[in-house]
Amino acid sequence: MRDKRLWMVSVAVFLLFLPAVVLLGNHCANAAGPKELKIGTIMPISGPLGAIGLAWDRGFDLCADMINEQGGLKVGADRYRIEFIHEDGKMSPEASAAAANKLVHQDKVKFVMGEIMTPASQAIYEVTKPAGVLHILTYTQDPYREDMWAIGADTPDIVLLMPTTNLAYRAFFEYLAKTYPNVKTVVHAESNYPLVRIIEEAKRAAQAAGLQVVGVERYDFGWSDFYSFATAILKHKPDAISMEHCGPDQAALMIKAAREQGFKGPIMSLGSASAVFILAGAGAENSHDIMADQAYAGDPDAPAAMKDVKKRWEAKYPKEPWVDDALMPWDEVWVLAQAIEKANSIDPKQVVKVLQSMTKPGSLKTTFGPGYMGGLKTYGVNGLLVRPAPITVIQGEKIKMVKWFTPVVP
Amino acid sequence: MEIFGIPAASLVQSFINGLALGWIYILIAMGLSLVFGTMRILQFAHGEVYMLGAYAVYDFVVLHGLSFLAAMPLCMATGLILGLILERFFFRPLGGEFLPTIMIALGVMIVLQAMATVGFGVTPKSIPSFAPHAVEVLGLRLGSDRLIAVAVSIALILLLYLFLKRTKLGLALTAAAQHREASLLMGINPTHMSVAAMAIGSVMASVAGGLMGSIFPINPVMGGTALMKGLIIIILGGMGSLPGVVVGGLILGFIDGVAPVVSGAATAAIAPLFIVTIILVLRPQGLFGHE
Repeated sequence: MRDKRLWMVSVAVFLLFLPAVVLLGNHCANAAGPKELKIGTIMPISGPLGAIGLAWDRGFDLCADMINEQGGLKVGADRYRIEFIHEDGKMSPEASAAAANKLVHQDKVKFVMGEIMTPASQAIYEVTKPAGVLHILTYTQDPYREDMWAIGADTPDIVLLMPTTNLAYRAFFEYLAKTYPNVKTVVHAESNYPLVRIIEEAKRAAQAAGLQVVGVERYDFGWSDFYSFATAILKHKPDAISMEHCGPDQAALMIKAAREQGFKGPIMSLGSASAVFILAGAGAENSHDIMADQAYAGDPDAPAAMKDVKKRWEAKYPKEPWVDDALMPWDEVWVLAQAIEKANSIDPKQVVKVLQSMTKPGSLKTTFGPGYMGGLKTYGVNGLLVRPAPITVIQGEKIKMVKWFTPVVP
Repeated sequence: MEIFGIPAASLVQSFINGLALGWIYILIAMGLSLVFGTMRILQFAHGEVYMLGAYAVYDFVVLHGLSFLAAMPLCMATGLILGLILERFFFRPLGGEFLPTIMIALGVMIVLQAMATVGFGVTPKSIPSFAPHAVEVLGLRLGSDRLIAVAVSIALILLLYLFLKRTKLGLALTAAAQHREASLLMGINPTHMSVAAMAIGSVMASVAGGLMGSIFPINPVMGGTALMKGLIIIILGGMGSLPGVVVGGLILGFIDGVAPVVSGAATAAIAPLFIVTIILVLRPQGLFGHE
């Protein structure tokens, strides 16, 4: 009888204290370990730009590793480990919208990064906007919204954390004129998006550098054969060629076709793939006097932060050759992290407000150097990351970042 | 002078460039048609044989320093060995069963793509052009490498034609393609015919890959497009018809050359499929096929 009573009292005590033990344990676990911040990415990891999309995902992950190694993002008393959820945008609005729906409504992310093609990015925004998720653009072909959509005062919940291609015109044409004093005429090759303002900007930049634009030729973004196009360009008898917005294969094909038809002058390739991709596609025998606007972390004089990213890649993905495109997603994550910590919040509305207030030069750290958010006069919102950019020159097998400039963005 | 808003010279140049590429597509389609005609299988891995032919040339020329001329026989040998392996170990055990063969071919396609990705990476590669200059003909500028590729393709197609029409083995192949049971009764060994068809088809595909690889960058997924073009050509021209394959290839080359310039890449991508649909509705056996 006594034993039975003792047993019942023991069970009652246990049952009374069990919830307390569980709650205490939970609290200890939370207090001890960081929370998780899920960020979605939608990049074209299959198809013709698969190599680029994959490099972007690697770049995102590498920066997340760096932040998580340091204990995660510090937000108030909490620490947040970044966890990326990667989806395949396939460069298509349909696939990107489906991916965005999954990330926003199923995975409950607060931030989405992507895509490369503007129509696909627009499809993502249709999903993120009503859900209050911050959309971080990874590229835009049409910064002035002549035909497509991008950052603006009416789209405050988008930011573009990399400079647009047109911002490089002035520096590139000046470099071209200075380095090749015999070059007087240029043909500008542009994709056939209706980018009138961009073309006018290119012409003005060329003229300011003392160069005459003797022709503008348009190509279709989906072309795979540029031989006839190169013939059309060379009919203008230019001293130099300036090309913009090509995919990685396209830049290489245009260069190869021009060189095979006897063109020996300098070629500028803006908004296309990295110098390594151009060299791989065009071949070393055709890759002389080429100027590109993407960084090259293999340059011994590259900033230490760039080299660090490359080292991390080589340590984590030893069987995959390094791709310079990974620097841009790294910076996108790094800048976002800085904004989150400054805002002391993971609320996308707070974060974007703080990010758009970081307009003082040097407010943000990037692998390219100190940056800031700008573009109020141009876009109606400080939604564009402004940071230094290199002029990268390819001479045969050799690639070198020969000059740095910081674009001016009103 | 302008046609459809495009300078006439550009249009003519694009037309000729397209025709030049069309001859390389014909090589791919010939091989596919031969395999289908003899073995009655849709060799979905044919595009990957083409892709590996390109990578073989890349390997020999860029990584081992051979000349393009020395690399091409090695490229053909690569295609031959691959074709023989596929026939012996993947298709022959299935005994001509249609559906299992398709599944196996699709599986082989994926495996070969993955192997190329692992071996060479996803970054596009470039083979130095074997003729990196242009010739001017009647005011038009034509790539020497494309002209030579056309000459090689025509030579190979003529050789194939002569082989099929003038040699004992070729006649046996033709007979096996026309009527398998009758040829069996005539003492023609179907297994030997399958081996021959697969060998010849794979050699032609790998040569096409090698030629194309020196004109355009190569990547592990380039075989898919080649297979699609090959299928379109043999459907357009008619299964089992060599003249049909030639005409189909030239039609496709014309579309590929002119359509992107006139109406954009998107239209150019669907135009061949649209034309195939119309042909199949009006003439299901293709332009030169038999009913």
